[in-house]
Amino acid sequence: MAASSRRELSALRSSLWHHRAGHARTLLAMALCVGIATGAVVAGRSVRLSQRTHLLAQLGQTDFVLTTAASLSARLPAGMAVANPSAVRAAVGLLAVDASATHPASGRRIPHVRVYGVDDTFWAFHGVPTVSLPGGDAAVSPALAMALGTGDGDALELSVAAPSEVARESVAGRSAPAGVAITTRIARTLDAERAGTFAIAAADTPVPAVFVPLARLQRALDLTGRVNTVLVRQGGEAPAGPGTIELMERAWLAAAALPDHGVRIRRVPGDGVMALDGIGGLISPAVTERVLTTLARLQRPGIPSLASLATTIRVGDREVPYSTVAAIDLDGYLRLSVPAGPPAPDTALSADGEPLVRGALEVRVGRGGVRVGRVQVTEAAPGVPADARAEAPAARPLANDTPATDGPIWLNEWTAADLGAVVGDTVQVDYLTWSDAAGLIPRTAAFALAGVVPMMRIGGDRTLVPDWPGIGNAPSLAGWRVPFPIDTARIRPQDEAYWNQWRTAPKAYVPLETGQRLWGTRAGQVSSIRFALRDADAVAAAVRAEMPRRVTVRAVRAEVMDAGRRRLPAEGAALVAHLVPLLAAGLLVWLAVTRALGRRAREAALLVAIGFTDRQLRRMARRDLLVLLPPAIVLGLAGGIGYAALLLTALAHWWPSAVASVPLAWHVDALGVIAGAAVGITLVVTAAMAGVRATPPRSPRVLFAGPAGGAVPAAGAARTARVALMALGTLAGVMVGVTLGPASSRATGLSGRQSLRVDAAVPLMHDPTTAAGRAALGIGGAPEVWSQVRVVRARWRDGLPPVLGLPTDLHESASADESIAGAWPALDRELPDGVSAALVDRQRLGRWRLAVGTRVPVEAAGQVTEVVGIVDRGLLPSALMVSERTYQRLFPADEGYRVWLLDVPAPRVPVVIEALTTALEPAGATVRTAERVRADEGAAADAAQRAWRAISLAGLLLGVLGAIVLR
Amino acid sequence: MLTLSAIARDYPEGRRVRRVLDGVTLAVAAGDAVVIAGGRSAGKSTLLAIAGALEAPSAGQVHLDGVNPQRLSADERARLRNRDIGFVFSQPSLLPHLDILDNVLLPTRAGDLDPEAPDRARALLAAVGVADRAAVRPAALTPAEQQRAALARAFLRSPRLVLCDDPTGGLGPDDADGLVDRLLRLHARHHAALIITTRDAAPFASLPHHWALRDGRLEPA
Repeated sequence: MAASSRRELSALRSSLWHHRAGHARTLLAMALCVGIATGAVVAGRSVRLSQRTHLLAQLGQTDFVLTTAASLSARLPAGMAVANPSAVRAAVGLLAVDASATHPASGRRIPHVRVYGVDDTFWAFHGVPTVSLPGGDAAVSPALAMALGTGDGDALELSVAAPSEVARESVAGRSAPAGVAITTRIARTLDAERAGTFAIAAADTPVPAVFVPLARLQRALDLTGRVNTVLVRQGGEAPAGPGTIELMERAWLAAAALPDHGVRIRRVPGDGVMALDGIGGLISPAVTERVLTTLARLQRPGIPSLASLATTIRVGDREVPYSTVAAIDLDGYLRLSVPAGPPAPDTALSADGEPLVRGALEVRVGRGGVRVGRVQVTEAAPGVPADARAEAPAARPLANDTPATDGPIWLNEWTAADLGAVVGDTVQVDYLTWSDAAGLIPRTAAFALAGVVPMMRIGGDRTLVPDWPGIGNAPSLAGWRVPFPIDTARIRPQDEAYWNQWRTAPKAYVPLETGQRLWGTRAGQVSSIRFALRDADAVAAAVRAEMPRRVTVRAVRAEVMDAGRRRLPAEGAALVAHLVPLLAAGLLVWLAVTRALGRRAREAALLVAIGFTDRQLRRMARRDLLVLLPPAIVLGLAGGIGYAALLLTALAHWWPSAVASVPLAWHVDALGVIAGAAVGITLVVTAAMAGVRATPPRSPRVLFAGPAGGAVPAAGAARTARVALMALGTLAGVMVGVTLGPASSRATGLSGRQSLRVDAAVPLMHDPTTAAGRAALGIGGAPEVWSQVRVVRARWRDGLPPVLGLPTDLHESASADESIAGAWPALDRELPDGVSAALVDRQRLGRWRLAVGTRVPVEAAGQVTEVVGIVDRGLLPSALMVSERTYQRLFPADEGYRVWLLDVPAPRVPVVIEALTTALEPAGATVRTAERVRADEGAAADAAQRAWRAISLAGLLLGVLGAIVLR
Repeated sequence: MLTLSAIARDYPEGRRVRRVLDGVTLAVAAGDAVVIAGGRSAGKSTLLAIAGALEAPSAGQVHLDGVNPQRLSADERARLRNRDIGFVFSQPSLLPHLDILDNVLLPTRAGDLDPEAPDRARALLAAVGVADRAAVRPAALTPAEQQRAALARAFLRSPRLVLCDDPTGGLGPDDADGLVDRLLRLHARHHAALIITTRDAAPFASLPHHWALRDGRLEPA
């Protein structure tokens, strides 16, 4: 037995040595296969780990990021750490805003820049030395320095999108500045070790960022003492996993004061009433519902109100310009606000220290009216015209024929006197509404005067109107800063006197439902909620406890880890890129095996004649290959690691865009090597076994004398090899052929027809194709330039993934191509569980391993979308695409459009570019031609394609040369 | 022992079919020796391939001790060849990487373990006059010695049938005579049925049964 085994082993050694030339060729082909696969996987793994390192480096010490579309108290982060030290080890607040940055020295400008307002706590949080920014200077990230070509000491101009509590879709809210220009000087460019690559949400590509002193940014944005982003380092005792987000929300809730929820409670002077006001002017529908529910539970009736602006209040031919108006249930309010006891401390007092209002309020009613008050006014408030102090005027016929279709209205005493209005008169109110599509729209409502409210308590209550920017702090009526022109010629001395005396006290009141119908917006239908003074603290506590979430909490570190699972691994992408070389190497293995076995056809024939079965012969062939495999693997691994180094060098030097210019580090670990070798070995075994199976029949006839004797029937294998090589060459040729020219140039989608794309840091509200829109945007040029220009305006939300809201009727647009037209109607599909439908572009599809039916969470909205179709993105930025309707449901507070696609007749393109560039500079807008967009955004695809093409051609060359050698 | 009944064999040639064997009938008893002479392309090798269960006839029956090899599975046919049939080809057909002893022992690697095979192999090598070359590779032997080693291999399993395809074709007259002499002695000792095909029947003149294969037909010589 032992002798037999020794004899077998000796025979095997002899066979291997005797056929060493064929075995060497086979071994080399095997090693090549293993080497290519190993090299691809190791290089891909190095890229992936480098990217992950890059992503984690962006986060610094950040585990969670809390963001809000509005602002929070700058003291809140410290409060979070104090309130919940086990969950929050450290927290720091900063202002993070979008901007475009211009380098004046070179004239270069880039969009989508992040501006961070930070103080010393930021650097301490990340454990890096404090970066001193004297005199409001800025530090910049390496990505920004590279993109703009800046150097230390250079000036930098920023167009910053200003976060605001004020909903800009309300007319009054549109007074708030949407963007702010900041000029600064670059003190230094920060490297990664000094948090220079910091980003609040890890991005594949380095983020162009500017760090400015927090105080300076707060002043510039009128957000002193406020931040909009909180970075949290998780406490050691906090559990890991999804529950930590809830933990952070609880930590935030524990530290948040009412203003951090966007509301405040204050006491209304004189009426024994408390008011819960929206800081930004409006209370969101969710908060309104919670507050009213809480008050109802506490059996404290709440009276909501909505304030707005009127450009004119008119009765007959008399009118009052530029007024505030309020929608409120006066009846309910009067029942709520019966004062008792001594006057409240902040009750308005007369010059001699007496309360201006004694007793209670009487609303005078006339014909058809209802007496809702019952007590007398003992003293008229000052400032009311003398004739207004008279008894209620008698009813008189309607001043004009306008039907009062909008219901009742009450004027305050001053206004009624000024207009000479009597109960029953038709009161016309001119006002403006805002539409993203049409801009400011003038409207008129006609009411029937139902009563006159004396100038006391609610009749002179300036607190009913929010502190709208540009209005609340205006020194005069003529000094209002509003988004519509103020005709100062219409402003009379008594109007200014009213302003001086009563400021924003509403001049007219309508029922709440009427006001909400006329002036309500998506952002809110209520600006204040009034409730009784009693138990104010209990109400405040209960309201605070019931507040809906106002911040978005993102577990950014976990997202980075999770992203690795969601995305197509770089290792897989590298293997796909090596398809041709791997196929070529596999073919060479096959060829080497069939060739070697073909050369041994006589030997095999003899063995068949002697009585060896086919199975035995195959086993002998497999045994030989098995012996060759270990050295082939060792050789392949060595070669593969060298090849990976070559690939990384090539990626770093020739194709950096293919890996988003992320600094590549060398990562060789057992897992990567084993995975690569496993792929290579699998391919080797498959190809070798196919070669064994494909070896031509071993007819012993070759052993016989005569015409058939002596021939080696290897023609079949050679023919198959030629066919395989031709197929490989054709495959490579077709693949390379169809990708000739840069990948970016093949982008179609929405659409080949658009010639310009505008990316704005600040949401743009107006339509440039209308005269009014151009006037509002400050776009000059002859009107005829714009006569054939069409625009598709899209809403944009940064994030992972970004969300793009496109017009609901986009697929009907002449600009939409077949890709959009085909997939867009699917967005109307009703999905279960409140899931929203979304489209994704092909690029994102592969990268994120998405498919139709995949559910994609939109963390910023706390909702889920489902992919219902695939489109070519063309000029659109790569994002999750939803209909505008869905977008507004996901992000009700988002306003305006940040992406425009313009279809401009070719001859007018330069003129339009110049006009838009000049006019939209304050909005930080970048205007690019389609070609430029494709070149910019297709750089990565182009580089990846160049890399892939080079690798494929090398693989094809390898296959051809190898086949020649093996021939 | 071996019976060939009305054997025909056709080969396709383009769109035509060429009949190589046509109605060959032959019976060879154990211990008998038959010489079949024929020119080039006469069908000699085809006849041996069919008799040796390497090929199937297009028509007719083959029986070896009553067993039709074509009724057996491929593995059973392989075992039949290994156990009961010995081949000697015109070229020595030794594996160049094995020494002479291992070449002779080659049939034992395909079949059941046979502990006595090495001794038997050495005895056979002695019988064919190359015992002293057992440990060398075929390349060290003359063609005549190689053919003798191949002869020893054919008789290792004491087969019931030995098929020789022009075994002296590549040898000079002296070497041919020596080989025939050793072949006939081994044949006599093992009492196997022996079929020899050749273009030159002279070296085998001492054998009693001579046939000629002409145009695919077998005729008495």
